[in-house]
Amino acid sequence: MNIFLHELKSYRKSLLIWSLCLILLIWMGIIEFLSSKGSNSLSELYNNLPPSLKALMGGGDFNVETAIGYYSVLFIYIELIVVIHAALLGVGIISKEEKDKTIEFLLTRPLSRNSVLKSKTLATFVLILILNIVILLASIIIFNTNSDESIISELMKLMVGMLFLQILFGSFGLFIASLRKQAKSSGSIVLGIVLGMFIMSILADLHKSLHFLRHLTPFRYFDAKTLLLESGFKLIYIFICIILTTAFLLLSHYFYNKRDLSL
Amino acid sequence: MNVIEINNLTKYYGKSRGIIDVSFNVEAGEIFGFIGPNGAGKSTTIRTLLGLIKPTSGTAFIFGKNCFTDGKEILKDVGYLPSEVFYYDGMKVIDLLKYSASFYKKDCTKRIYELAEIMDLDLNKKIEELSFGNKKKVGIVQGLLHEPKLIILDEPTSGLDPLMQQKFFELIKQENQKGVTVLLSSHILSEVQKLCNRVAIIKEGRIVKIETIENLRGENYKRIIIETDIDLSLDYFNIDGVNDFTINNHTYSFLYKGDINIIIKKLAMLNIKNITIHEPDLEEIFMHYYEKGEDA
Amino acid sequence: MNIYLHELKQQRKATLIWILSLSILIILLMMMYPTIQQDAESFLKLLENYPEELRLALGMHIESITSVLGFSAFVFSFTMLITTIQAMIMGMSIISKEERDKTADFLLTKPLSRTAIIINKIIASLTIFTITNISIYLVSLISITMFSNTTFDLMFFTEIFIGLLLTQILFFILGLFVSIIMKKVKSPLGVSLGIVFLLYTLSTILVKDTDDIMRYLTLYKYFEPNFIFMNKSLEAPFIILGLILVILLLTFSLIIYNKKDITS
Repeated sequence: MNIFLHELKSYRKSLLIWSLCLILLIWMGIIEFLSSKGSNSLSELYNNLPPSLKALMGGGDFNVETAIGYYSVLFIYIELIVVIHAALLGVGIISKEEKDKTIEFLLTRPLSRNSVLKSKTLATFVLILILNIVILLASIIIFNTNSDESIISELMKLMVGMLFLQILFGSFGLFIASLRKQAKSSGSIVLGIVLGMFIMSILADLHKSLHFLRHLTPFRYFDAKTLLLESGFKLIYIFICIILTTAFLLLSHYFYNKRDLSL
Repeated sequence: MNVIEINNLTKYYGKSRGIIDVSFNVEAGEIFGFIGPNGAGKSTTIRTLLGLIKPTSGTAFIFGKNCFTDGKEILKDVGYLPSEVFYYDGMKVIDLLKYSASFYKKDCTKRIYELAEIMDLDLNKKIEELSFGNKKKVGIVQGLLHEPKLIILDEPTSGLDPLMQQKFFELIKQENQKGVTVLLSSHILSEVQKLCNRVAIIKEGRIVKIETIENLRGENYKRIIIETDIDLSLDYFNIDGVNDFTINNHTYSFLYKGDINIIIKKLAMLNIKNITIHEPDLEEIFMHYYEKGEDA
Repeated sequence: MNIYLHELKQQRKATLIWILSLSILIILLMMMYPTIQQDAESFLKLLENYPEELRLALGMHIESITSVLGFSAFVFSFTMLITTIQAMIMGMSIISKEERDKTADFLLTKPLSRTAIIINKIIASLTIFTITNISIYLVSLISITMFSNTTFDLMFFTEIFIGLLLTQILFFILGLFVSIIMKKVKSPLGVSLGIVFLLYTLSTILVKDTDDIMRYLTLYKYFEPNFIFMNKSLEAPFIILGLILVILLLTFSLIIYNKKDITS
């Protein structure tokens, strides 16, 4: 419990900064949307773009004329940012002890490594959840004060999907940090993988031959298009997500218990 | 000639104290000890001399050059061994030493191998594989390889085994005989006692005493312990120069500094069962300065 | 010189990985060119039925995609996101890593001014950026000639890469500045990414056109490949503005760093 609280406390500031940046992003995005609303034919034209071109322009298949359509475009970036946050948090919460040489202190307390890792995992998830809720509330409030379109139920769907991804990548970060001895470079590796996945999710739309990538990158499991325009949550993706998360968590416990901690 | 000259050096970290009004000189060719407990300001003083920390006020000169503006010139002839050594992971010892040597415009290769030989250091190991003590050895070689004219050592022996400490002291003495000046900060008094000519004692950021080692322990101070049959009045020894006075049953113990004749006459008037008079070791004097907090 | 070589050596592996992943991305995207060109051309036909101003608003982008240079510009907008991340992380960590790893004591007690240390490290980083850019320049040239059979103006192409390099320098110096004004940088990765993505997303949302006011605020669009394509060259005002920013940030960084206490 003390480790859990200690972690929450030490990440307080960082969480605040991430939240503020995201709120700023959402706010500016929505203001921009409201000010450019009205030129109907432009969005009609945009909606006629071939999917490959839309993908290149960062749009995806949304009607940018509606609030939720526009938010879906914005959501691509929000999701990327929170996933990076989750993954780096997962790596950092483990590897910082080695970087800052506090690992000796921590592991000579009367605690099993399992319980250390459990507290840290729990703290990671709580921080992730807080960020998720902050984004949800910020989006609702900013929309409601500036427009009379209500998109709360759609937003809720998007945020639940995002939470799945956050937890998945958070666990992935924990796993990589537990697996690897070189604390310094773990962050870069995780980041590389996250960005690779994200780029795959864009490439997937560029050409028919690349559509299969959609199944490989978690960024396409709960994207706005699937959740809002198509069938909603797909059971298979939820299933894959839960399996992967569980696997990462179990493996991180396994490796963390086994390894020699470097000083 | 003074190699180091510090005048009224003061450093505050925000509101918290670093050092206050520190002044002392280190003469060419001497081994100068700088002693004090943890957090007294030893490292702050040294880091300020090296230009790592900027002072709040005061001046400091090394080789007659200003430490805060001519750091680059000064550092050419300074070797520094920090209390904790950290180097680049992924490098071999020899690569690190060569990298270090590359900053000085002379060929240090021969000296690197000599020093590694003396300190029994494996040059082909990776830095991150070394134990704390072995890293310290890398630090020693790294600090001496360019044959500096001034060596600054910040708690140098922590982590070294007694044999290595011995070798290290020999090395420092040899360097000193070649004319190298040494500033040695430590809280281990025996090593200061063994090596140094003069010491400065620092306490809570202020210098409380600058003295030669001989003066500190030999000429001025005597530890006098007497046993008597009867109770003495408490203020019997309440005279100038008596310090650290303790009574245990009929055993009276104190440090005395001053005219020996006065105290001998005082003692002669008593009926004494037993007496020992000896020179206190540095430890005792040190404790005396710290516990009493007296500006003697 | 020794710090310069030491930095290059330390960054060797990371640089190689950056270059490799960028090359793969570029080759993949370039492979898409033939199909996308077809898509775009059919769309352009559709566009002819719309009024003039609309075509101007959207058409510019689409028309540019059909040409191989315009398409490359799109590809390099993606590339830019990645190279700026590289630059920002490097700027954030190049000085702060010495303090975090506690090697600052070693480096700063060598007979060198702090300014000389920073300059050496900057030149090393510039070398790395130049190597990265030249490598992906060559990869791009080769993949373009492989996947398209049209000829193109090498000059524009070169300018796009100069733009990429300039943007990298801008973000590198920004990272350096941020790392120096922050007292301790716990996670250079996190801070860099935060800043890069914030600026990137803002620039994507806010900057619609080459003469948008917001363009001055989001460093991203100073030398944006698409804009270079539209204007047919780099824009002098932004080069000057960028230069001023670099000089200002660098001067502040040097002043602050020279005054900084390096505590153990």
